[in-house]
Amino acid sequence: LTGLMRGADTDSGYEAMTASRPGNWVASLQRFARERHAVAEYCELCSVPLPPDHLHLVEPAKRRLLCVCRSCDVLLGDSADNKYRRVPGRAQKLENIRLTDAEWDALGIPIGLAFFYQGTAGERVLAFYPGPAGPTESLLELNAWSRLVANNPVLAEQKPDVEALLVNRINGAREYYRIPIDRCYALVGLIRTHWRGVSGGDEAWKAITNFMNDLREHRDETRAYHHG
Amino acid sequence: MSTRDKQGLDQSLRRLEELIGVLEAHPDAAASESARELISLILNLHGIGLAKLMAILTQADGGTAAIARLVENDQVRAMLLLHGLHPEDLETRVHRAIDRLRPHLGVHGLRVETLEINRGVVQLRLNASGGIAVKASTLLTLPGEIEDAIVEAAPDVDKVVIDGLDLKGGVTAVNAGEARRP
Repeated sequence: LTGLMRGADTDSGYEAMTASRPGNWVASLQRFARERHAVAEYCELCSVPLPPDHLHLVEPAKRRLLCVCRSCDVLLGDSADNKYRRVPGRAQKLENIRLTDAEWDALGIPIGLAFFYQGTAGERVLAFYPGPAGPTESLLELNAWSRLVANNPVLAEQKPDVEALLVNRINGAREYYRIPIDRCYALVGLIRTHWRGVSGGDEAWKAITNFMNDLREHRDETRAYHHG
Repeated sequence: MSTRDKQGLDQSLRRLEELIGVLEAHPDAAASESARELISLILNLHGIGLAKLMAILTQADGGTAAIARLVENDQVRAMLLLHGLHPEDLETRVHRAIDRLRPHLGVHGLRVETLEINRGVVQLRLNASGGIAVKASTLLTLPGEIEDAIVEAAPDVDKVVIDGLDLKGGVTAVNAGEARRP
């Protein structure tokens, strides 16, 4: 296809060169530069296709996690108006967390697996755990969280909206992680996909076990997070 | 920017498209994969640096005016488009390109309607505006012209789909198909 609307350069020897204009070269180059596998996700701020190991921004006002490209992450993450916040990349195992069984029971979480995070909107602490109907959210009593932080000052470093405390007390485990919120959503996604019946079923627990193993062995740090 | 610069740029971009085509069809998958990785690394290196640069510029005094001037330069504009850093998003650029086409289309008795712009796919519909008879020859060339104008404003568009030319002259839907050229 030739650009008939644009006057052809007939006044120079460039005619051969202007015979065809560049096409959608940006789309071609970006498509080629991407990983070979099919693109499943797009930047939610500028719509460019994303690789599976893309970054995420949190929009605290809407409690929303957005898949973003590097440009949007740099341009809009942690901007002055605080509309979007960057999600940290790494999970960190927390040693020596002091939380007795009685204290845990007092939190009212019916299962040994949960994550807790603070939202700046409303200054509250939310708990997520696998419940009979899949992922369940509950508001944590603020005093309960304050007591937990008083016993474990390291928890005060946890950034609101973008980081969470992941607690695993299943089958006698006592593991605690400070983890990026996008990974928490990945866990929620797993539970939502695999949870069957009241107790979850083998498939759900296998997925949760794999998730914990990956976290323990730092296998998932550059991997795709398919969030729910 | 001089005509010579613009022609040099267009030539580089056409060559770039050609080479991407060559690499995509290359029989040596490992070599092609290395080329892909190399391009990807360089794009990232430049992209992150440029994004920071734009972020600093955006927050600086008079930054917005400076960016507007930068975008007027075809070479800078091409670079910002490549890295998804153009101050106007794809939709805005496509709409503007279409608006510029309206008078030209009107002369030929046609109206253009934007149905959808989603994930790099632009869907348009051409309708006869009535009053002026639409020539069959116009219907053969116009979709290509429309596509060219859109792709020039937005080379990040994946595909332009034009349909709706169901006119009395016996010419039915014309589909411009893939915007990407060999």
